Amino acid sequence: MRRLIVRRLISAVFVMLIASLLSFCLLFFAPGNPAEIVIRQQSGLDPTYAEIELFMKQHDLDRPFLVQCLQWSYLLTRGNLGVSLRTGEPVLEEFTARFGPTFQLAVAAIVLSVIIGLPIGIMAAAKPNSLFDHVTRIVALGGLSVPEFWLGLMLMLCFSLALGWLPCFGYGSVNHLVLPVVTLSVGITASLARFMRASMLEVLHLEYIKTAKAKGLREAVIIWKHALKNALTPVVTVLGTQLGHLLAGAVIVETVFSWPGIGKFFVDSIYARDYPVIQGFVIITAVMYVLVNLLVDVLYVYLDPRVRYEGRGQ
Amino acid sequence: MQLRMKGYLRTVTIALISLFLISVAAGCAKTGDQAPATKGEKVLRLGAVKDFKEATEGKSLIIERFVGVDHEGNFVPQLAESWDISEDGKTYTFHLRQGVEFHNGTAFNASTAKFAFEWIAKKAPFGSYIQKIETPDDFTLKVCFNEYYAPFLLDLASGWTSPVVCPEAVEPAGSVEGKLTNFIGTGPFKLENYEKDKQAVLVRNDGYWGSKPKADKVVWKTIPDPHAQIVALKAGEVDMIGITEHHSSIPYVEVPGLKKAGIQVDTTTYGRYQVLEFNCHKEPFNHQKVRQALNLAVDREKMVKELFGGLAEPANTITAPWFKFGPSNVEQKYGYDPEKAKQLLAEAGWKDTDGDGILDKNGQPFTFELLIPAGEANADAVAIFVQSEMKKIGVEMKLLTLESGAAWDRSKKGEYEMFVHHSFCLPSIPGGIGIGQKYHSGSKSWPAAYHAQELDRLIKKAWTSPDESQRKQLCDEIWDILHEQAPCIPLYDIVKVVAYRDNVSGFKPGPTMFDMELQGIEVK
Repeated sequence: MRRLIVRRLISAVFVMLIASLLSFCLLFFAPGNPAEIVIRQQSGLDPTYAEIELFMKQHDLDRPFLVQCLQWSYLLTRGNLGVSLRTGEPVLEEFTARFGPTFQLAVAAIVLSVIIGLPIGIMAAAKPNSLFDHVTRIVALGGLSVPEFWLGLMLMLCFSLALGWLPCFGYGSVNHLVLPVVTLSVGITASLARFMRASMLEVLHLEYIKTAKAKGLREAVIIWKHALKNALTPVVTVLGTQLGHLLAGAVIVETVFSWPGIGKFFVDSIYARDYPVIQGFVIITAVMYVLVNLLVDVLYVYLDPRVRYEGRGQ
Repeated sequence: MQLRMKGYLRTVTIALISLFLISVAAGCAKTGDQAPATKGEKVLRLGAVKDFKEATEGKSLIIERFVGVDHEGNFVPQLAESWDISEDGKTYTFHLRQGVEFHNGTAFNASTAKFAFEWIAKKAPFGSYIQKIETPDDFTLKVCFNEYYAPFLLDLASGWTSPVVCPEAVEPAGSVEGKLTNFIGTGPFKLENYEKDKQAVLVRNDGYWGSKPKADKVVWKTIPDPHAQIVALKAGEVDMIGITEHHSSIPYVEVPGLKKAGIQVDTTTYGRYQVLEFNCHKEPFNHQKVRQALNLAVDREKMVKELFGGLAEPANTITAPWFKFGPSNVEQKYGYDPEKAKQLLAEAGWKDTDGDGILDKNGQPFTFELLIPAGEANADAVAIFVQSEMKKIGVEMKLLTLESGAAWDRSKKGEYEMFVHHSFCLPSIPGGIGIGQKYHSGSKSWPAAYHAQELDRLIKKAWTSPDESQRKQLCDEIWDILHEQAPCIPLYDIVKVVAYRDNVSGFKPGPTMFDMELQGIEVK
């Protein structure tokens, strides 16, 4: 186990370096000049050529590709992610200022989805093709298909405007959290429920379940005690991906509900070709993905005792 | 075995629930109260698309400039009460306002003004023209130029280029190369509290030299989505939207719904037109008659009525005629005359010889592509309308929407046939007739716009001499040439829409689209 963790952490370094260099290459050779876009955005005026040149010079954007790459790598070895072209603030500060809200939203949405989605999937699998199964399938299909921005606005119209129960934007109290979390959870819950059902059905057809039935165990005991643990393995994988995805920011929900997270800031930075922010955020996001995947791998061991990461024969 | 499993399930459940509670609690702990308002305090809550510090518009409430500019482009005093310009236009003497203090108590005088000016000049376009800056006495600032630079006062009137900051506002303090970190200015409001991407709280500056704000506080709330803004306004969570952006952030189609909900809606023109720019250096738009014909083919009256319910005014000149150096003289305004359009196209050699409904010339059909930067307001609807208008005169228009950075990149390289954008106005020279601007051949940003030697000569003459009456005459000549040449299709005036609840009164639009005048606003 320890070896797994160490190996993963070493590979994480390479993952983040490659991911961020790749994103820099893509953006550098993509059309669009950060200087022009940033000036146009901030001043609202057509930037003159002199202004663009000055901005590029001040931010070292006129240097050749390799020089910029090396400059950035040099800063990185000193733990410095550079300064945002758009806001002039250090990238790390921009990230930490926004990560709290994103983390809160992601964890709350995942937990809510697990609490609702897993039991639904398990119950649907316990009685396949029952009325409950059909109803949840249709509802899940709806939940998966509904676009987040539409759902968010509809919830807002309902609960903020018509009923006046919840604030329609902002960050701070539990009330502010409800609508964004619900909007995010709908899709995740639906997909989790479907995954759980499929995986559970598969397990229920295995020999050891037949043995358990033959032993005369109650169905509830078979499902919740014997089958669940095995059935959870693929679901945990999906959960890991979802969590990694959410931690990188939920752009649409953040925009609709004015949630001050990293997702919207990241996308705005991409539009502005804000290289330092993009590279920095990609690095941090890559690390988070690696960590979440590691967590998933560790969970496997607990879920399925057959999984061993140590060397063979141990 | 069973016992262990039970324990494991319980642990996971407890862990999940506690994680949920922690994350929720973490949120609550941070900010208990959103807008701390004491009783009886008059707070104006604005819904804004951008974060406060990212928007130039917000800065202008706190930090002022030496000079301002009015709706037409005449200069008005701000921190400079008056100024003299030498005969040759190379020396500006600013007489500074006396008795003004920055929000932190630092006095505004020649020495702090000199710091602010030098700080501005480091980044401003006029910076490289400056020879020396002097302070003959405590309230006079003298700026000498190497050569005459016409847009100097316009640059100085821009809140983005030229905010008059206090030496302590930058980091490191007092450095002309410092970074603006503290919003300390002389404006009607002081910045009290700022939370990134959330909100900024501004309080009234009781020592303000001009008319003092009637509201005690202004809360700038960041709501990036325009539809969410409208819900927030209707739900009473903000009092006013649309005022904090220089562009019109409220979609025009939402205006009738707002009015129906009892929301007050004001529109203001700033002379910012949406225009279709021709590539005048390539077939088929290198031909004057073709450009004129297409200009006559668009029924702008119908367009604004059908698309915007008459909210915006149709545009018949390249830029607003009421600007100080605008095309007020132009007689040949662009109207709607499809028959004349067809006739002009025929004169240019475009005829439908194969009977497929599309004009052709030398075997080539009249087909072109309109390049649309994604996010350009109303552009999609307008493009489809123009497409149908073009079809009526036998011209096929294709649409290409690109991510805006990529689209602007193409426009800068001249890689388009037609490009939709909005004209830029005050505080830069409106209409693109300055040196190095759109209609000057020295423009590196617009290599495919209409350029001509005669035009270059007039532009150069107009903006290298400080004689304003001569400049007006030259500009008139420039406008005559441009309107004759039809380098673009001006479509409509992009009016700025501001919406507010009935507890707000006394709204007055700011002089330029970047300025907010909140002093007169009262909140009940």
